[in-house]
Amino acid sequence: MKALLLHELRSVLAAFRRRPLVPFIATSMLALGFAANVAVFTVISRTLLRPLPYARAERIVVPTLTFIGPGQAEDPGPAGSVELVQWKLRSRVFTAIEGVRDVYMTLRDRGEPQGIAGSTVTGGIFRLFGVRPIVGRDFAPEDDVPNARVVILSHGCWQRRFGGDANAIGRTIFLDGKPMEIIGVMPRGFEIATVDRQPEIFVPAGFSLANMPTPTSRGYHVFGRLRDGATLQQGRGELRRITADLGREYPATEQRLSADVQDLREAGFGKQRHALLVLWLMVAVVYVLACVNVASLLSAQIADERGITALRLVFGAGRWEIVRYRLLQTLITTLAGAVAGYALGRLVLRVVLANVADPKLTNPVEHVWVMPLFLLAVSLVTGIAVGLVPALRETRTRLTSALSEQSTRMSSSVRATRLREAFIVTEVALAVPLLLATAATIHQFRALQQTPLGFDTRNVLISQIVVSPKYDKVARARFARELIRRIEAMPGVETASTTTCFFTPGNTMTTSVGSDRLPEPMSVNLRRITPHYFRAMRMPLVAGRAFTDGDGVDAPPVVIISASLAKRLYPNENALGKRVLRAPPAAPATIVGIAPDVYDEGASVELQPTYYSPYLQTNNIYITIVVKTKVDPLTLREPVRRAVWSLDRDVTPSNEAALADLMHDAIGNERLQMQMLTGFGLVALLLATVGIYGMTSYAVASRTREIGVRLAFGATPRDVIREIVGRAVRSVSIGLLAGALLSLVVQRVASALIYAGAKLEWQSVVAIGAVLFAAALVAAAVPSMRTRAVQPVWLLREGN
Amino acid sequence: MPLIELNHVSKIFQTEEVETHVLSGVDLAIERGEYVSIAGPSGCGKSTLLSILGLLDVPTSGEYLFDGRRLDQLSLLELAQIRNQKIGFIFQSFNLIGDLSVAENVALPLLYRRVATADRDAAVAEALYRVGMGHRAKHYPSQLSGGQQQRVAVARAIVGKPPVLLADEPTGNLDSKNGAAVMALIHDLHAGGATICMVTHDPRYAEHADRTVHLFDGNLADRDGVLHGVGSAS
Ligand SMILES: Nc1ncnc2c1ncn2[C@@H]1O[C@H](COP(=O)(O)OP(=O)(O)OP(=O)(O)O)[C@@H](O)[C@H]1O
Ligand SMILES: [Mg+2]
Repeated sequence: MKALLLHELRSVLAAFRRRPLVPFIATSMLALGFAANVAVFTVISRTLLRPLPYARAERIVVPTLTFIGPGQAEDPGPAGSVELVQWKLRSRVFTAIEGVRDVYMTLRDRGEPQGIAGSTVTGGIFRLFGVRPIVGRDFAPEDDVPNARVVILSHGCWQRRFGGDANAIGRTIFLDGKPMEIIGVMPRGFEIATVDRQPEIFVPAGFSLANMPTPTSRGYHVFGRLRDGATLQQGRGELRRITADLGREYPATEQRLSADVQDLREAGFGKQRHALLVLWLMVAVVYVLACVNVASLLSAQIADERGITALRLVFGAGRWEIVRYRLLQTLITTLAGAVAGYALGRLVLRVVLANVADPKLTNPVEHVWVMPLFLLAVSLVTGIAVGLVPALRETRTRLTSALSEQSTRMSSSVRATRLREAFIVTEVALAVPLLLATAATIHQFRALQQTPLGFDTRNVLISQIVVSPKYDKVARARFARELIRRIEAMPGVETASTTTCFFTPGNTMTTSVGSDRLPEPMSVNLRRITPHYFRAMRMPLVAGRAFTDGDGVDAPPVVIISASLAKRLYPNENALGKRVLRAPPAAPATIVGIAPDVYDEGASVELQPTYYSPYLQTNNIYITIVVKTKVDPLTLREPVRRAVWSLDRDVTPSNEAALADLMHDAIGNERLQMQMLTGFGLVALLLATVGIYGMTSYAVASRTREIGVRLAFGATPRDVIREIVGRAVRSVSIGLLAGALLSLVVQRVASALIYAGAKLEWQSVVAIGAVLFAAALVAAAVPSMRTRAVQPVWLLREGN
Repeated sequence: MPLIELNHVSKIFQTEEVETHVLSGVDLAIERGEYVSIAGPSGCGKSTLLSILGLLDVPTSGEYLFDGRRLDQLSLLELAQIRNQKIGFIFQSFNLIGDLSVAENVALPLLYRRVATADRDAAVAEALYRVGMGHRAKHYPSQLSGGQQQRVAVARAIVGKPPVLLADEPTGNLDSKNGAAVMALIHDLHAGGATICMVTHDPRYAEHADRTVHLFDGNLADRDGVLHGVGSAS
């Protein structure tokens, strides 16, 4: 028994060696399918399936603050200190509610000051996550006070900046010029789930009921731990109640607010999930396409060997032996495909992730063996699925007819022809929705890329600073004015300004405003700018004037609003000179200018009504410097740094970049998704084309004798070509039709998933149809041309 | 002028450095309306000769005139037209098309003659009836016995009433009753003026022919076994 199996294994391998092309093609196609799956499943396992590094993570939820706009639903956003403290205080459903807020800080240890991604946290945050520092200690209640003097480092920060030295504990460093003591280091892999840029350093926020920072300073990522037995819905209900109460108690700042509570995973990966599911769907189809190709190759081979199989059966081979032979054949092929696909997939992943900064994606969390085991399982299942059915059918070969086909030289049977056509139809039908989705995505991305942003990105340097909190409002205004004066005096600079926009998606400052016509306040983007902003950005004002140095602290409050905001605040009226009502205690401001609408967070973020306020009048500590240059903007990076340091050694510019690069990166996620989709789309197209070509040329080859017969009875070569090509065209047409129907169904069922608003264009449909037709036409035409060159009798003899 | 005229026709198969001389300098003339039977031992080249006569293959050397026209002067299209309108072929190994039904197989020559569907169906039905296969029109070849397949092949050859019928052992798989029926068909065709050229081993059927030519070692001999370098008229 064992000897027989070995013998069969050897004969399968010998057959591969004799005719290596078919197994090679089959293995390559499976490898492509596997590689796509390896790449996407790795990404999925590192995001959607990522184990969250927290104790009892399923009890942790993410409360957010929502804004009840007039007739418009607003996205949930970060909460403010007031809500955070009150939720914490009043909640019964949660055992803990804590918050984290990103802050740019300047760290000075021994050498030059450096910009650092920091965060202010409420003291119990690490206890909420159930994670303790690996070195030193956690924040104690007495640490979480105003002007706290202690910090905890992330593991990465400890390694990079302090060499992983345990003596770093107790050391004093300077954060924004203030001395702070390092008391602990978080473990490796600790992360704050919902935050894109993980903080390197944690500082206690130090606020309480008695000591509340500016009420409108929102920006806290809030986490809550549900009491045992409490549900997310209960948590949501409770926070909504508390927030509604706050609206009554603090009508000035807390009105029109509500709360939402999300699952931790949902909050962390909800946005990526959509894209990943699309990718997953694509690779699944790509894999099925590869399997269809392999199945069709196998069935072609079985058909070829029909007579031999019949003879084997006649001479005593058992059915099980026939089946086992085929299963061995397919299993070896699928396993080889899995191995090659694994290697290829890792390679693809390395290339794709090379320019992805997200540490979540680049750090493996999956066990080394997960993917190989998964592939092993899939390849076994595939091998059996693909091999078993044809093998079983093979054993049911009607011996007499198989033998009589052999002996009387009948050309291919009806069943074989139908099967071949079915394979082609399936290939095309599966490929079409995939290719349409790809085309739609490319189209959508192209549109995104070509969106006119509304400003000129060329020759603009962007640099971010955090003005030292020791400055008051007047000092900050003076600092900004002096900084711009110094930068504008530098050679190579055309003009310069500051803003509070970060020029990255999803990272924006908002406020709420109203007007005499719109008493209900609405949420708008807030940009605090210095006078030359519109000149530096090349944004021609629609009406009115830009700010001047005269719009200072003591001057009457003025604003510039975007055209869309003007339309909302004063519909059908000239807004110029009218009032904008702002959240108290701010007094109403006069509209002095109307600015064009722009995509200043990148083309992927929808246009938002925007409100520009003079930095010199109302300011904050975050400043983005915008320098319009006459030279390559990055060459001015060092000079701008020196200009900042000439004013304050403790302020460090960070995230310096050319505006054009920022706008390019702003659609980076969409680009990555588009690239991956395009990659898989191309693989699918390749597989479908190879499949159609292979099946068609095989079909033609197995009809050689038939062609000879037709010629003998008077068919002209043109008749023959028309007949063969006609059949190929018919199969592909049926496939295209089925594919189009399938696309409609898929679009109906999963429109949000696949097409995400992108329209299918008839051009793509035609182009895809043309490529698939071309594959079939070439595959059919090339061999049928041969009929012109040889004598019919050869065709009669040659066919089997 | 003979309908079919072979002058010094040779056929050499070149396979893996072995040259097989199948026909060497065959001279043969067949008159319009003649009924010729070809005999000879297995492997002597009967089928090869028939494919050359049927314009399915070309001689290695020598000259073939069909209806007074030299074969090598005809275009592919003209060859196809002659095969379609002038010649009916019964292959030794039937050569039915597996994924066409019996009726579709038989209709093939008429299809390429662009005969209207109704006429075609009638002709097919009649041809099948005459070979006793009328009840099997919708079957596929693999569902038929060897003899039945052969009868379908005969029906396909005669359906268009070709002026020339080339038959390669048309009764090889048939019992005497069916064999006789097929021979009667061929006889009728001949009576209608067609030229018949038939390979057969069966002396009874060879009797039907006006003359029999024998193939030996690639050359023709007459009935008495005397070698003829030049084709023999009766
Ligand atoms: N394509 C080919 N290549 C090489 N040799 C060939 C080819 N076709 C035929 N032959 C050889 O030519 C010879 C004659 O073959 P052919 O089929 O004409 O014989 P036949 O007289 O019809 O025999 P049978 O009575 O057995 O049908 C044989 O020896 C055969 O091997
Ligand atoms: Mg023969």
